Amino acid sequence: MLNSDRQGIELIRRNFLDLLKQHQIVPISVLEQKFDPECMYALGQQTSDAPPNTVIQEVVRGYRYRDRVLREAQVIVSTDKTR
Amino acid sequence: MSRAIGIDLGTTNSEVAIVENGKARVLPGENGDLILPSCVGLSEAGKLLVGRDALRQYAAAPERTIKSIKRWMGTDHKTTLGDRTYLPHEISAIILRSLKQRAENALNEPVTQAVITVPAYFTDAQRQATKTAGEIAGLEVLQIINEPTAAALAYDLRSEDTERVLVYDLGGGTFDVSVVEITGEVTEVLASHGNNRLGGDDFDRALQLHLKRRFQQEHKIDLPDDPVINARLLSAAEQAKIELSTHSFTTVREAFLATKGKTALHLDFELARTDFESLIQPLLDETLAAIDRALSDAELSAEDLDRVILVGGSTRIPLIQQLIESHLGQAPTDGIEPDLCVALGASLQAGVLTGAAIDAILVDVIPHSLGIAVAMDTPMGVMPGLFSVIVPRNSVIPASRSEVYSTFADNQDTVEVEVFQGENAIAQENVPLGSFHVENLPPKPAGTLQIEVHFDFDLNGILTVTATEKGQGQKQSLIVNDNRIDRLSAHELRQAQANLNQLFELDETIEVSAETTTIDFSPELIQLIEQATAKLETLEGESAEELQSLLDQIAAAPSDESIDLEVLQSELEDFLYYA
Repeated sequence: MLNSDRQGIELIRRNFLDLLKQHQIVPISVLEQKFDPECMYALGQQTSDAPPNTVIQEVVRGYRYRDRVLREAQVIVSTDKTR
Repeated sequence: MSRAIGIDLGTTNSEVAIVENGKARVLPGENGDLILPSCVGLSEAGKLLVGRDALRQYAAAPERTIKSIKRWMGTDHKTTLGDRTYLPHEISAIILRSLKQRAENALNEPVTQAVITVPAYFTDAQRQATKTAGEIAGLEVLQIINEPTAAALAYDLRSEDTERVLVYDLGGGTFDVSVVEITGEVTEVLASHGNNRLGGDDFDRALQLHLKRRFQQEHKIDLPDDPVINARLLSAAEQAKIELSTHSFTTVREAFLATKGKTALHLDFELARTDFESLIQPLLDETLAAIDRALSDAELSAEDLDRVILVGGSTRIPLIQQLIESHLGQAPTDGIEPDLCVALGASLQAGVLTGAAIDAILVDVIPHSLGIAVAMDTPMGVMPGLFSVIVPRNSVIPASRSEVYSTFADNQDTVEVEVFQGENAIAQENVPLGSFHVENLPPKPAGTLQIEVHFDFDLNGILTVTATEKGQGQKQSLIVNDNRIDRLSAHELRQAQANLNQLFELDETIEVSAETTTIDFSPELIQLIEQATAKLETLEGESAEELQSLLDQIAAAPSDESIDLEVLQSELEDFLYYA
């Protein structure tokens, strides 16, 4: 039951994302990417196993419209453990 | 003749404006933003970032990002960025250079002249540092003017009668209140007060705490002190604050903030403007106290004010307007965007100076008394180290005054002239500006050798002090910008400009190389391919073949124009979704 609810919501989400994509609005993919100050807003740093300056958490999803940043992604970035 | 720009070089944000066809307008950046955050940084690859891009990386790379450099202007505070250190005016130069570039792109013509604003309380050293920053950025600084003066200019207060105006400036991180007097073409700053650590950011944080308390009341558990939760609450707070400037109520809705056992907890409630107002009231009371101090310094009462002007984005908060209105007994003048007002006023002055429409000449005043340390006869005997004012504060600039002093001891052969600025009767309690000696004085009895000390304060706020021994005419002088930030020699200036150019050029080359290495795949597609590659290992038989074939086609896409990448991408998406 719970499982199917979830699938339903995901389906709606997918339809919605498709609709956005038709209008050339696409989510900015950030996880495990290098931090990019042109489309990501850093909220903070956390130590992690990931290489430094890599996005380890997406707090708010960002979107692009064509080649413009519609909304910047808000992210948390990894930092060197040794520091 | 090229046109001159007006620049509001702020602590948090900066803007650049120009007069066109008699009207001032703020020039937008490439993405249409009128405001440039006063933030400078280097990306991980060493690319220079100015404005929003730099601000975005602040929390991720504080060691490579600088903000609020204005607080350090005129000092020798060094900041490290990449492999070299910078003085505050060098960082400001980067911001100014970026604003210059913005103006040139928007106007499609070179821009070489500017008027730059500074707070009314800025010392000479801070003004000189600002001017030097402009020069390094490749701008001829026509004039440094006070922010409240610029704001008043934006409202075109140029009546023949004397108007006394109070300018209340509450920005993102700083607060100033100034009382200025405008008579025809002359603007004088009568008094200035403030708190350079108070602004809209404080309101956001107060509201953020309030949201946390609301959550606690509702769900009976404390929100964990988690950076993600804090960040979400802070942006929710900022949004709510902005909403409440135009609405009496707003809904704060943040889903899945935390969990209690297996239940997800959300924040969903209606926030009234009055709730927000009671949170910020204590902070605003502080600003009202500053108004009173400024008025008493100017020896005026509220009734003497002809007009009140609000500057800075935070003054959009209705409570601020109400409090000021009831406190001063008159409604503030509005109509100009409060965060653009200063830049617009600066551009009007720039226009006037370059002959765009010469109907006013701005005259500024000296914000602090200037004088020297002397020994004086007092009822308690001779006291050394007292402050003798030569140019009183609020003298109209340019100011040129002298006083005559005499030697203190018999056969005294040297005098030291120590220059200070401030209002304290004890010289040392004021801000030291520098000192110099006049030597080899002829032997004379105490009190008979006369030294004339002359102060000359020019339009750019540069002070020249000259001491002349009256008898033989020996002369020594000192140019006070600051001991640490001297006016740059032509050579030093060229060097600083070259360094800055290099930074900006480096920026361009990196941009180009970045472009050549990007492949035609969108980040979204790249992520899909990664997912697919991982998925491939778990699949067998037909589905594995199907996926492999999709991946092969995508890989071939860049070299084969007949392949429609979008179609492939959506096929891949579907495959991954249903697999």
